[in-house]
Amino acid sequence: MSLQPNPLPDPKLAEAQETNQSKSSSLWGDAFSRIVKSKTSLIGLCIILILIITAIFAPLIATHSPTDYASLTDRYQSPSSEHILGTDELGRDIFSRIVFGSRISIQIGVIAVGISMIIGVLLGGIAGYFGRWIDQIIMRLIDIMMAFPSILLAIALVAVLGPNLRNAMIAVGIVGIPQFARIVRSAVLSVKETEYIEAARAIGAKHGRTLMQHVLPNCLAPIIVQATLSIGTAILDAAGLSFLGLGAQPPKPEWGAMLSDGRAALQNAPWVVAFPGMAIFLVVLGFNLFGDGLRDALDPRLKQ
Amino acid sequence: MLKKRNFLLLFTLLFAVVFFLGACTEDAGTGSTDDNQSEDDSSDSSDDSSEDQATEDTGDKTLVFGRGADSIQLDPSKVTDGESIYVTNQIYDTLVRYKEENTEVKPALAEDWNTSEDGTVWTFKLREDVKFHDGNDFTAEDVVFNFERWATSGEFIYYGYMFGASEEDLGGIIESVEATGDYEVTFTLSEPNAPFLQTLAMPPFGIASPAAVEEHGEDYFKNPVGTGPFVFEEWVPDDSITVTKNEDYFGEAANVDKVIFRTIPDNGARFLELQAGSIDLMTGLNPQDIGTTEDDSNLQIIRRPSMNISYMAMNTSKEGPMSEKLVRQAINLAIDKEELLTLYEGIGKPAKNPIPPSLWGYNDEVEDYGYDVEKAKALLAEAGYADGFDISLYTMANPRPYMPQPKVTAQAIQQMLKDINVNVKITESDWDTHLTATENAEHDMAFLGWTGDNGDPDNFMYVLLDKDNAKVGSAGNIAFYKNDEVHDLLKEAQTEMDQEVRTELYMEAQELIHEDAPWFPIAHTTPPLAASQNVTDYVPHPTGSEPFNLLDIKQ
Amino acid sequence: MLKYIVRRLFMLIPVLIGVSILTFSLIHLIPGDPARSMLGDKATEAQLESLQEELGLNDPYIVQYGRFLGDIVQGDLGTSIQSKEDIALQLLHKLPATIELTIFAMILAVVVGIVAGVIAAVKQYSWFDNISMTGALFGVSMPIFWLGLMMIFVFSVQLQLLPPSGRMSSSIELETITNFFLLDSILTLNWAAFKDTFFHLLMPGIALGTIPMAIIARMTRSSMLEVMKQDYIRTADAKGLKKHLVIFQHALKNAFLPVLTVIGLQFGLLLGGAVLTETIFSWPGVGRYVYLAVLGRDYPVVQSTILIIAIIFVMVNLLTDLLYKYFDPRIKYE
Repeated sequence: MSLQPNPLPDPKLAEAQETNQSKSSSLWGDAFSRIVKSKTSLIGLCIILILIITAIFAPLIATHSPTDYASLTDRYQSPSSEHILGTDELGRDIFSRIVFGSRISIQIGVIAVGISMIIGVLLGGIAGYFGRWIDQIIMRLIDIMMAFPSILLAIALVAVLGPNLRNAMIAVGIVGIPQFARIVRSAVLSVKETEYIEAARAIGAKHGRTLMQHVLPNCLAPIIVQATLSIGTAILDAAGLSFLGLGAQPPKPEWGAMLSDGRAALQNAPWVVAFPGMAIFLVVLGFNLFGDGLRDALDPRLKQ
Repeated sequence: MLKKRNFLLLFTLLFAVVFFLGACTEDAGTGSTDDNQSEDDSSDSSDDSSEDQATEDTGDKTLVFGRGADSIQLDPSKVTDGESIYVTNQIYDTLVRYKEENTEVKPALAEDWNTSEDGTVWTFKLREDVKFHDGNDFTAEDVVFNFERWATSGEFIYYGYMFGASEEDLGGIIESVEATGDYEVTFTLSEPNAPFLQTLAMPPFGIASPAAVEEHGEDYFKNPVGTGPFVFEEWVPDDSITVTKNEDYFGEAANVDKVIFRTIPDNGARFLELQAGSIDLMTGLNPQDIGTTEDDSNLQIIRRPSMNISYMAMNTSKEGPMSEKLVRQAINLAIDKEELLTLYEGIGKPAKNPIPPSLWGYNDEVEDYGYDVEKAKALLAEAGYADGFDISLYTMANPRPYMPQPKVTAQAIQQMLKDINVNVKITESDWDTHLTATENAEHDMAFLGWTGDNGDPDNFMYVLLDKDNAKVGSAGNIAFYKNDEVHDLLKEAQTEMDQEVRTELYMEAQELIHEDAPWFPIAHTTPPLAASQNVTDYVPHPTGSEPFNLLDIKQ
Repeated sequence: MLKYIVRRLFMLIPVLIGVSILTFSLIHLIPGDPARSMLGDKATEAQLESLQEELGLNDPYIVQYGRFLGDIVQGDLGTSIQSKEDIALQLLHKLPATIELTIFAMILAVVVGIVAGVIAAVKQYSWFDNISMTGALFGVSMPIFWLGLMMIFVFSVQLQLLPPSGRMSSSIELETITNFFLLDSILTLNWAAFKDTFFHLLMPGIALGTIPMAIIARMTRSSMLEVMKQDYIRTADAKGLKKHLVIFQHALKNAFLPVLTVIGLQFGLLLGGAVLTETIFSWPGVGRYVYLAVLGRDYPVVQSTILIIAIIFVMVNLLTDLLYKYFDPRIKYE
């Protein structure tokens, strides 16, 4: 599960931003051309696009109902032309379930990362901008959260909230807060000192407004990179929770839950486990590739 | 040239790692300097263990039994879980025991017994040649000690439960237990109790050594001492429990020298261990592995005779559709039981009554509702629910012996009920949470099941469907079905000693229950065990566990 | 240095107190009744109440927290509700199981990760570089529960090479001294047990080690590349020093620092990843212990164990920081 806070922690990213705020428009332009040039991030982008298209057109792509079986006698059929990825423990078409499951994965990614991002950015922004005791308090809280291996914290949270998909997303979201908070804090710290912000403050802009309108937008690059990488992690985490029976409930075609339900038949019908796992793997890979590409593109340190 | 460099590079790195490891172990070594003297001990004991291995080679027989969960306590009077009972059944004896294949009783610690005309006084004559594993003689005083211990607190769950004991009346229907001789015990009951003798054969009433109970106090549950065919040796929590043969057993001494109960939580992994030969016998076989087992010439399926029921209870106490008899009947009609039973993979037979057909008193006249969606719709319309309704179905996540695939079964029912516009929301939780929720009447509908304890219909009907057991918070009757007519019949059957009269009473009650439809009865199963072909003479008992002294294992 | 360590230890105190408060309050918000779980299917209301009383579940939270903290400070981790065993005693069996698995996974990850990373950096853009970095990318995206199940399918079901569960076969006798089975089998010179334990460790070790392995490989490669670009390496190279000497004396030494940080971070996180791995491989360790305790509402076990894991995690991170400072000449102790 959340073994990677993000696949390749990059402590220097935030520092690097310092030098580059003024040239932000060229930064984004360069970034785009870099991504297009990088093969791996293009593959990542393709996987993400396929995921989104699948989710949108799921009813058209799926060959069967994702939640209903035709007959209980069709259970555990191996892949065939009728069921290209076979059938599961109720005789449902695995391909169709995976197709509809893409919607759940996107939902998890967006909502969980949304929670981490909104709260994390706010906390990190406030801590970095105001500094002093506010910073102390917030960062100590973050330290406490970071003292728990994230999966344990997520399990404990789900146990408190009750096991279902919504709560799993909330738990995964909460667990991801510290990452955002720290990254945003250090980005804000470096942005804060620039003349531009000092000028805004000098002409009497209010704190809230300065923070929202001037400081945070200038920290966008690391936030976007972190968000992309976090989506992969969030999907992985939520699938893990579902695998433990603490996430999506039946008959939702959530990939982790599908995998867990198929476990009983591992010996006789390995496809029930194999394909949903492959789907999780591919999607997470997609977000990681793309996130990596984004970081390289937005990281001027590698500019030559 | 390049190759050589690469090799050097790898070599240096490996060296670094080995060095690092060396440093680590060195640390561990210096950390335990005060263990130096125990090193001598350990070398001694490793000699011992090599001796052990040697004797093993000369024919020590070990049976490794794989199961899904560890025992909770090895004091059977305090537990209700099957995994504890499985082990304590080896260590303890009861006054009487069940016969090998059914729930008729045979002598065990008691050789002989008789009862007064009115059924309130029972006298047992005890064997005189029995010793506890700690060497103490077994006498009438020990029986009295155990029964008095059980009547001291609510901790002794089965005692309270079988003898009607409560916090206010800790003794229940047992008024007194006296040693009327060195080897004679007399029970006086406050009212006749038809299943009394059967009940005494239940494993929770195994007789413990008073000396050991007093010596270990709170910790007795991990230091059990009884008179049974096996002696407790070691318990590694969540891993294994080892018992060894009791050479001086008064009954038939065990054929195997040692039994190891190994906990392997995942059904699939446990089955793999069986195939690999690292365990000899296992419970909790996934039904889809039955075929694999039968095809494997090294393995065999052993089927436990059926004395259980799985059902979906409908909460009659909740305002709304489930309080309507017509709706409950409609649900019964709308589920295709035959199709549903394909999920039991051949180990289940359809159920129509709350007791299994193997029990006396089973009413075969009752005709099941059958599968008829149109009729179901008509009944719903008659009850005013033509447009259907939303409803919850609570299920346990883990397989139970009477329901091998609860999650899947729930989803199948969910889909079937769509046909009559009933929209089912499944709430799945682990076993303990499920029990708590259903006993608190949180559910509209819920899965549950029951394995008979003593082979008496009372143990099914009264427990599961009497209004006495429909108290929110501690209900056995999770349909919260309250029918005074049924209650009177069941109460009368409890105190009536004549089995023919009792049969009549239970027959009538079953008809009333069928009409009211508080349940959708699902199936009676024959839970399969898988074993190596080397295991012989294993006769599984309908109550769910049995002593292992008769089975054997070929080397 | 000593002053710095002491200061860091002091800074831990508020974190640890916060951790204990968080653990305690989380667990007490969990619905469900531990007394209920403890008594089993057939308990009565009266039995429940008396047990709740006995466990102190009816006291105000602040009283319960005080008791919890007081006991912990005295080294008393409480008693499991489900098994009634002393938790500290149970952890004595389970922690070694998890730590053994974690260390095994970490060694695997460090050895393979660093070797692959160094070679990939030295031979940038070679086929080895491509393959190992693609592998690493796959590794970081791997759902380890899926990897574990697939390994069981291939190596236990199909090939019947490796055992699918547990730490050791029941047929093996081993004198346990430390409860680290590998270590114990070496200490007692029991090679049969060593081999058996090693085979049991392989699959869960690989499953758990995959992600850190991938991360370490990528980190090693990128920091190696960076260091190798720097002037002094170029100079050393230009001066005609043998290439492998340059790599080891300078590059790897400098590249090791960021890798060290990753190792520390991953080590603690492995303790969390153990929940999934141990569940799949029926490994009798702390991860599964906590998971089962959460399901069974075993408050004391969840509290104490999560707290212990958090403390270990915090300590490992502290240790990494100290090592980092120790190895990095640029950082001074304030």
